[in-house]
Amino acid sequence: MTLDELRATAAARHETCTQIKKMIVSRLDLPIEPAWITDDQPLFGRGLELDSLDVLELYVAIEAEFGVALYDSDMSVFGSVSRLADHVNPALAEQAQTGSA
Amino acid sequence: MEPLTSPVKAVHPEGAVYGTVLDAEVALRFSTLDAEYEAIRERAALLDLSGERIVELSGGAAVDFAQKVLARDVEYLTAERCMTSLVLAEDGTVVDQVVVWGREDSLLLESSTGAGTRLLEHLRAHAEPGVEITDRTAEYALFGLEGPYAWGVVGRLIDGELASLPFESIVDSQWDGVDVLFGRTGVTGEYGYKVLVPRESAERLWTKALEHAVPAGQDAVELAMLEVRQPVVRHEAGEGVDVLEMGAGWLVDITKDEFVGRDAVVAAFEGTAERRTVGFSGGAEVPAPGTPVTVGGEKIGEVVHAVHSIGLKSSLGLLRLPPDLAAAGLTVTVGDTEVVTLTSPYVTPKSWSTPII
Amino acid sequence: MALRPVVITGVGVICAVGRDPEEFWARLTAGAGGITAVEDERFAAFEARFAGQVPDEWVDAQLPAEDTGLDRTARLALVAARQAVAHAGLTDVPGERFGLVLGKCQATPTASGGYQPMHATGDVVAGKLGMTGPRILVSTACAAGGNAVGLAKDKILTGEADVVLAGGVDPLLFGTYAGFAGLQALSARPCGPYSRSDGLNLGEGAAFLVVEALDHALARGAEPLAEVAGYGLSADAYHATAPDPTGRGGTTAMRRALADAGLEPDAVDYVNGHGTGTPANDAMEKKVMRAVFGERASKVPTSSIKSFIGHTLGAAGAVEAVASVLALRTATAPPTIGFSDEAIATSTLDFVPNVARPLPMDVVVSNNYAFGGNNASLVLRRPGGPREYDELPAAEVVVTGLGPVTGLGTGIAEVAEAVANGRTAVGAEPSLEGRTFAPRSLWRHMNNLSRMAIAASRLAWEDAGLKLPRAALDNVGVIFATAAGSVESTDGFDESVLANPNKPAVLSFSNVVLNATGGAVCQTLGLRGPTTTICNGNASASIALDCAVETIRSGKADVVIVVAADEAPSSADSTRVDPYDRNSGEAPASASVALVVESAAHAAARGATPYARVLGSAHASGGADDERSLVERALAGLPTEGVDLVVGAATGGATDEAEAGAVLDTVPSARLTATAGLTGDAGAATGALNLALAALALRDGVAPAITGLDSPRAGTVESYVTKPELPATPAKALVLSAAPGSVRGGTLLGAV
Repeated sequence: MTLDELRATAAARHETCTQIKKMIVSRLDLPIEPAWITDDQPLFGRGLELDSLDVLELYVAIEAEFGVALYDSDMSVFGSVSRLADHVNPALAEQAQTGSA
Repeated sequence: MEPLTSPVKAVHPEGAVYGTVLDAEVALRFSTLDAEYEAIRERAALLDLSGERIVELSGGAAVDFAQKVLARDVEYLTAERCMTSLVLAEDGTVVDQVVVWGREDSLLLESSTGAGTRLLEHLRAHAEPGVEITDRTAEYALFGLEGPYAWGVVGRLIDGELASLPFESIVDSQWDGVDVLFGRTGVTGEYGYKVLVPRESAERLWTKALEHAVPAGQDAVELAMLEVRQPVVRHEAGEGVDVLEMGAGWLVDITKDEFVGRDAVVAAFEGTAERRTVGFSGGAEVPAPGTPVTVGGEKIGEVVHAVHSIGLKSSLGLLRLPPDLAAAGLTVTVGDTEVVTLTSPYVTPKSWSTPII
Repeated sequence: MALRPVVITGVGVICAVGRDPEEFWARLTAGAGGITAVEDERFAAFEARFAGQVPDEWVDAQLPAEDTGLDRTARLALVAARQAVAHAGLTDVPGERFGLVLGKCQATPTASGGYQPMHATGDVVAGKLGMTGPRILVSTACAAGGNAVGLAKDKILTGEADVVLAGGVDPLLFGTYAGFAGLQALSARPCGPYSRSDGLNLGEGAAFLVVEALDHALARGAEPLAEVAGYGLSADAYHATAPDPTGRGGTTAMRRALADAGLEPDAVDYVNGHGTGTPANDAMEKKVMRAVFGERASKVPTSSIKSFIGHTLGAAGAVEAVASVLALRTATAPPTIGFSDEAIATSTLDFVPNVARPLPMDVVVSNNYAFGGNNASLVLRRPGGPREYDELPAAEVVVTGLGPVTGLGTGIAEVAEAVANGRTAVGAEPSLEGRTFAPRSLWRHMNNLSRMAIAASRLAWEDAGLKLPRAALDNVGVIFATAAGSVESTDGFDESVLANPNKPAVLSFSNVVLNATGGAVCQTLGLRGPTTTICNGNASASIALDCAVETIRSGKADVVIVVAADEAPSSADSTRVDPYDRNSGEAPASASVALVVESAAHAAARGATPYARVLGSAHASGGADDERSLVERALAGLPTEGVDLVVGAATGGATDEAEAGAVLDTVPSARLTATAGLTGDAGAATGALNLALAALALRDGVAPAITGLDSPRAGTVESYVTKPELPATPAKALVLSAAPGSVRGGTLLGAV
């Protein structure tokens, strides 16, 4: 891929990630700027310190915002913002490799 | 200062391979990387954390001092909780990543491997009246248990009730008549626990623990940390590297009003980002730090650090790239090898789908 | 110290397996469950559609015609209440000696889409049954019913009542159902507590127990059914909805209950468990059994009534107490139904699977574990004979810390300055800026009501100068008082259910239960002592203070935080409020006020300087009389000689007249004031602010003033406090509280 194609791919992921970050901050009433959350940081326990109640809220928010129902997925979908982006934006999932399951 | 050595070195398994990490001599491997990694990711591994320093902050001004030097907020950290925080320099670079253990009248700071001396120097440089900074490493040994079945080992070794401690809870407990400090905290993404035991009883506990868990050395632990994006400070931080570039902003509480390094972090956040970090995998050879990353022959960044990942069966590492290219799902060239950038975690911990029974 | 023995002389119950105690017990012993599919079409929205429902015919067949038009909550309660009273053979208990402690979890909806005041159900039951003694609405979520029995015992021990009807009620409500479904707590089948543990079913019902002193029962020829040997409360201080997985909270409640009963764990023959059927609860309960009973755990039978009737929320503890009484009486342990052969084979404890078991018992423990981490444990035993006893010791109790969070100011320094300068801020929002009150990770989960309460509690704690080691914090009690709970969360949750019942706002739901804020205070301050939640309108704080004093007197805690909080239903324009003035406006307000209440000995030992001593209190509840008579009855219970200052419950409306008239007649030496003129009517928080500013007046000689009083509804302007500076620092102050038409109370505070 050329540099420009890479930039476009990266931009598409960043756009979805930014959307997710805004949703998390607004839905869970976090006192930080969405941009402060990094794509790769942990969300549960460590990191954003989300708990089980937050997850339930986010399932609803994700469905409302992205039209994707993640309710029965395992916890790994919340591994990071970038991982979540794979699940809510199918176009990204095709490009990404996620390592071992 | 003398390099730290392990208080249980005499009862390490034969054949352990040692190395020096900053101010500590640590076991890099006890047996093979494969066996140790498998223990971490599939069963339960025993960690000798003696390369870390235990520093106590006490005195009337201890909490205020901790608030000043820690990037996260410990105002309400009780004697039942611990948390992980960065310690920053005035210029916003990382001095160390510490686990802060709440105590009744003091706080314990657990440094990262080998960084204890640097941490102590930094703390003393910022000391104020009313706070005592005491290096208590010599009084203790610190062991870790990590793995999807580490909770089972905790049950067999110490007490089944401790296994279901909530994350980042700590509790004063007993093992074999000895007072220990036990905490649910770890670095590999698997179930993780730590035991702080008085030095006189360290050999006894280590020997007993060996009956239940496989000892894992520094190499295996750092590999597992990288796989779940837990910062390995000695590889990822450095001169001129700010926390946002490192992707470690989550260990900084930007809503806390004041701490050393805050201004620099805020400036970095509000300024133009120049570099960001993203993970990659690909290729059999492990590229050295600094190896150029190119696209169509044009250099766009470099390797921060890389290792061979047993879980992914290829190299795994971190790249420093311009922000508009720091994203998962890209194919770039590292040295001569084509690699792909990844979403985190690069390996999904088995613990996430293994319940504690 | 052996306190006066208290017994149960009558029981009543209506739930999915029985319209009365006979049918209830017959079905339990036959292993015949009552959880059925919900036919109501609205529930088709949920995957999980089983509940423990009560057929309407069972209810209406047991009500006189005039009661069938009441709301379902009241109807269920009346059925069970009358059964218990009849069973106990109660005929002429004097009204003022006959009390009611009612547990209720859900607010009762009105036809127009709003909610009744929480205490309205209690008023209906008390009104119909002629009770004008103590009247308490306890709302510790799923533990309320069991908690009620314990509180009833306290009211007998303090001598406030001779007979108390204790119980709980909750109907099946769609909104609550949606909330539990949203939390993914429901099982799609009839639940399997302790076996399948794949979720709970909701249920509905009511149960009551008649509680009186053994000597009182014997004197009137009644037969004691069981003795209320003791009870214990604790807070998990862990999470809004998930129980502490270590089981520490549940273990502590059981140990406290056994200590209260003077018994060792070895004495327990049967445990009636909470047994909802959720994986978290069932796992935690097993831990609790092992922690309390050690190696004997697998030999102590324990079963869950919820396997038959589902989780009846506010009624659960009372229904299960009734089951425990019947178990003792018939020497039969009811089973836990729903066990497959495999589940029986793999159980590590004795859950009395499927089949009831003859079991001679002397001591039964009944456990309830609620949202908000509130745990209640009740110890019942076969009644013993009459015996010598000691009175509940009088203990000197003092107020050592004040934490107001009001539109007038945050913290006692700001508020004291405002009072001294005659400032008002009616209807203003309290400010929480400028500092943190809790770890951020907890704070962000908290709604406005909880934030105010946490701030108030933290400020009161700091004002009291308390520095307690971790172990002592485990015994600090928290009594939470609120009239309406979180308006923000209730509205938010209701809206979300209307929009889509399958997508309810779960964070809001966890805050809808009235004890959520109390649980949040415990969680953020790390307090695990006895805890309960009182919902008696604006009288909640004085009743809560009573509970705190009783807790300290009975040696269950040395320090208790009494924290009251309420929110204005909507922001109002700033109105002028001059309590007791004929032309006054009224304005709702949001506020939280906390008081640190401590045993005088504990305060003295740590060198604290209290604001005031708590000298005594009295409460009266409404009957056929008018408001003025109700106030007079409350005042009649107090030695008011020497009272210089009265801080009244007046909020600017017409009922101010009754209070003013009664006070000016009964306490002619005193001058009367109120706090609502400074802040507006902040519900239960106004009651607490009245106590706080009276305590402050006793220390500083400065009191809230009614500066705009022109035409008082009673007496002359000279009878009121119209300037903050009092002529002399008062020696004694009387603080009034009011849920008009329901409960009136008075608390006497004395200078130190």
